[in-house]
Amino acid sequence: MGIKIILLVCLYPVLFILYFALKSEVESSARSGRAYCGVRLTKQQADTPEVKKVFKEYVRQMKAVLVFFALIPFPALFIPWFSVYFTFEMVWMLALIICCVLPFVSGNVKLKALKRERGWRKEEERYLAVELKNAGKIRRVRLIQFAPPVFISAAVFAGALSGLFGETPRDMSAAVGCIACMTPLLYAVARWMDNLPTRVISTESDTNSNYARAGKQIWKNFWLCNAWLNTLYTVCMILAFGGTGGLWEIFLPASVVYLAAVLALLVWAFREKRKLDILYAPRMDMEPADDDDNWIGGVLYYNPQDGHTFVGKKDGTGVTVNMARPGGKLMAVCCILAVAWALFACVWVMLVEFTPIRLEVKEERLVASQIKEDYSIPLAGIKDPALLEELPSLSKVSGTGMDTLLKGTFRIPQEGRCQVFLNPQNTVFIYFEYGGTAYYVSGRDDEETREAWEDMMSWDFPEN
Amino acid sequence: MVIVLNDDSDVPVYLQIRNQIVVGISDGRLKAGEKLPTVRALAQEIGINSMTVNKAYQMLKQEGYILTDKRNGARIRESFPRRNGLSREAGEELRRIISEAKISGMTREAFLEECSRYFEGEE
Repeated sequence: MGIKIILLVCLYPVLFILYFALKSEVESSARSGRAYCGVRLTKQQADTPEVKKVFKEYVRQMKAVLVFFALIPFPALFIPWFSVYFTFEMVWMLALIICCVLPFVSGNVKLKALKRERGWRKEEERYLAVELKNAGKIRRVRLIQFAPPVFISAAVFAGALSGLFGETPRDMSAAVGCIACMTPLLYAVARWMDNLPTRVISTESDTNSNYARAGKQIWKNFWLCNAWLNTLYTVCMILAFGGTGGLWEIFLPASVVYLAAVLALLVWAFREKRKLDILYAPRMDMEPADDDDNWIGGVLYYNPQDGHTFVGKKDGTGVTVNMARPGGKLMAVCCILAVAWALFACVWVMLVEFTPIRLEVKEERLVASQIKEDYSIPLAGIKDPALLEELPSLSKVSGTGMDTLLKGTFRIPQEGRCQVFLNPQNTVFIYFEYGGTAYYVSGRDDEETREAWEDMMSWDFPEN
Repeated sequence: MVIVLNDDSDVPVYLQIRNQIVVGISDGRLKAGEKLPTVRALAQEIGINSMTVNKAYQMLKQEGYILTDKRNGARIRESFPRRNGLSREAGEELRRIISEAKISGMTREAFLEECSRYFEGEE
């Protein structure tokens, strides 16, 4: 149950972050008159009952998505098999991302159709406005500001790898590493956003410069705070998993606080952006170009004429890639590979959980296998074999730890590391030493374990 | 100063950039001595190849509208060469415009009035 709660705590807030971010983006964009579900419309067009109906439908569908996805993870906690629960969480996450975007795409398609039907589309509006004075000058992100959190995260990860914080399980070091790597990644995203072309809202150069400067400042602060938050979370992770580690006491509250803080930051950034848009609304005298056709479903940007790989989202908040550029295609392939990897991981975990382990003596070797051959130990090298009816306390260093399977490198307090390959539900286990390493193994059930033990004992051990 | 580039225009992008900078100088939106963005920054902002912007700047330099040097980048010139007439290319362009106006039935007075409006900087 413990690992299930950790998964739930980590993934559940994504629902609220995603819901709030997408809904705020769309509402803020409509309020400032930039786009309605990603479609450029004038104020008069937006005030028509048909457009209002589409927008209401979008809000209603988003609420339905929120309620549905908020409820289903709880009954799933009672799924007895970890692999099935893990697969459920992964599918829940993917379905959530898709379902959060679907109402937007649906609204976008309907509004585009309405725009065509009513003849609101202006063909002559395909233009690009550039503020000459802003080109390459409005930059807010500096490496020096992001260097301390990046350095601390890297130092914590290096410390975890070198055992500075006590013996850290390998997979936990990898988890700390992944979170630590997020800090430089946040800096990279901040840089990309900072380098985006500035939006031209007015024919007045000063207005454009001040608006761009203020907008970039908000996003710089947002990413910088996120980088520091991520660094603090990395430190909390190493406190939780490094050495003796108070996993539950530190990890759970830290995760909850971290995700709540990210959500709060997002709320803050959108509020600031909204205030900025309201402040500059009277001075916005440049009509944005009608580039609806470059946005597939309002979410995917495809414009071969545009040389930018990273472009600002149509709503003005965030970055997306131009799928017509090689870099954009590469990013799309990376995303597809990440999803494929997540699905493969689910299949692999299920395979591991539902494939019974096998222990047998074959050709004078003790062979332990599951899916593939895990250990093949010559009986001649085995020392001090013993049949145990109780397992010592084991903590995982690397490998698999499930209710029905312990496999990999584990640690026994005050004794050191050992290799484990067993079903902890059994009541008998085989202990032996080989090449200076302690082994704890068992078969699928007690019967198989006893059979392997008897086969082992029938061999003439030099020590016996 | 805002420059507006038309994606569907037959006029090449470098010429659109050049033309708009010339218009900016003539109506005072670009002041004498004012610094222009670097070739790389402007190309990045527009999302085009640096060579295109470079071509526009080279043209402006040759025509005597801007000065470029490695240290200070591109700047609007303090004074412009006085020709007391149009260049050959501009003259041909004007002839084409006049011909189009004539064919469309525009009178000489209406055409000159239109020219005066643009000359005075009215849109």
